[in-house]
Amino acid sequence: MATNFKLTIVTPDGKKITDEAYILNVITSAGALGILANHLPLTSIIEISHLNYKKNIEGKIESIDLSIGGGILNVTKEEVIVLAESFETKDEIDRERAERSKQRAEERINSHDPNIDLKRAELSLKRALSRLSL
Amino acid sequence: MSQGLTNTKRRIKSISSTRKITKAMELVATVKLKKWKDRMENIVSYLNVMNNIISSCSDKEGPTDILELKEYNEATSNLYVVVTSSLGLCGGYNYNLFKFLNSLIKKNDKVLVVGTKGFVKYSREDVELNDEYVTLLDKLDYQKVQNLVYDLRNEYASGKYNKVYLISTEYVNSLTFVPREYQLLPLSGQKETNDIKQEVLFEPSKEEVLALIIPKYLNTFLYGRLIEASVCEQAARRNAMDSATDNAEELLEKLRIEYNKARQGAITQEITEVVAGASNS
Repeated sequence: MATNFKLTIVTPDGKKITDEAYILNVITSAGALGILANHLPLTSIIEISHLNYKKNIEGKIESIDLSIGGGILNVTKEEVIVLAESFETKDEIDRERAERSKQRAEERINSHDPNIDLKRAELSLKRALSRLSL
Repeated sequence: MSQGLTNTKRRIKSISSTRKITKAMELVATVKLKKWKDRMENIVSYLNVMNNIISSCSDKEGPTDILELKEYNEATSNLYVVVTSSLGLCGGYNYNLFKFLNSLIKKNDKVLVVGTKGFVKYSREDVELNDEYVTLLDKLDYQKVQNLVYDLRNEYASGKYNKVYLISTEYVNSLTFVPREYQLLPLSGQKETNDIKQEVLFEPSKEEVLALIIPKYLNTFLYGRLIEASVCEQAARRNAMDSATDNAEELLEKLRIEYNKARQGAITQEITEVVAGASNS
């Protein structure tokens, strides 16, 4: 049986997940990463993407998927911490809202208005798409 | 005599209704305090992790071209972000902040106020004001803080200011709140506290991680301090309302004794009159 490690995911709004996992899959700005127990200390940037971790409960493997709005991954000797801007599980996602923000972002990007912060709109679109595709 | 009686009665009535109000406000503040305290505890864990990452990054690092670390030494004025309350009846909370700020502020400095109390005060004085964020605390969320930090960075990048400070209240315990000055920009070097230094891997590179993490750190730091200030405000209000309720009770007690004395006096007088009238007939 694979060794477990302590995983904590927190947002600035205080939303928190504390769990035991044996593998954490994230997409960092340098590519996809799978973190197992006893990983070297590591700090990395997590993209707006999906995050997945698996836990082993008495031989039964449970996989948990989250949509994450970007963040920082911090692996230390003792535990793995994900500082997320935001995260949602599948049930928590407000699809209507995500759909709306997707439309809004698309309109903004297509409007070619010089006053619009294109980068912001793109990030917003990315977040909405990530939520919708989970 | 009966004139005094009705007057005292009226005062008792008015004070007991005031007492009811202060009591209710105390309860409201207690509930709000609890809510803000929970938020504060949440942000503290987030900030701690961030602190650890930053301090592991910032060892023997030369000056980088990150905006937050740049210094504008030729600028003469500072920008102060002051966190006051929007509602009153919170004891010396705002007054302490004003006193603290007045001891720091110099002629060319600019003030950005959060909270209408501070805005009302400084709009009357000869201080340059930025009032965009007056109502920030009313419905505080992370997004709004991000916008504020975004604006602060732009202001700072224009080179007008030497330093950007935050003036807010630190929560020591439920009775002690201290106004404090925090330097927001440029970010000063973190004090190294962890001796057990470990080699940490950075993906993709240390510079990129730092460039991303520093603005985030600033957001979270400011957000945390704003929440802390709200905690202080609610705690100050609760304390003020608590002592107001106590005072009302004390006053009521005194008035009741006064009232009873006057009432007894009036009765005694009436009896004397009746007895005198009876013995005369």
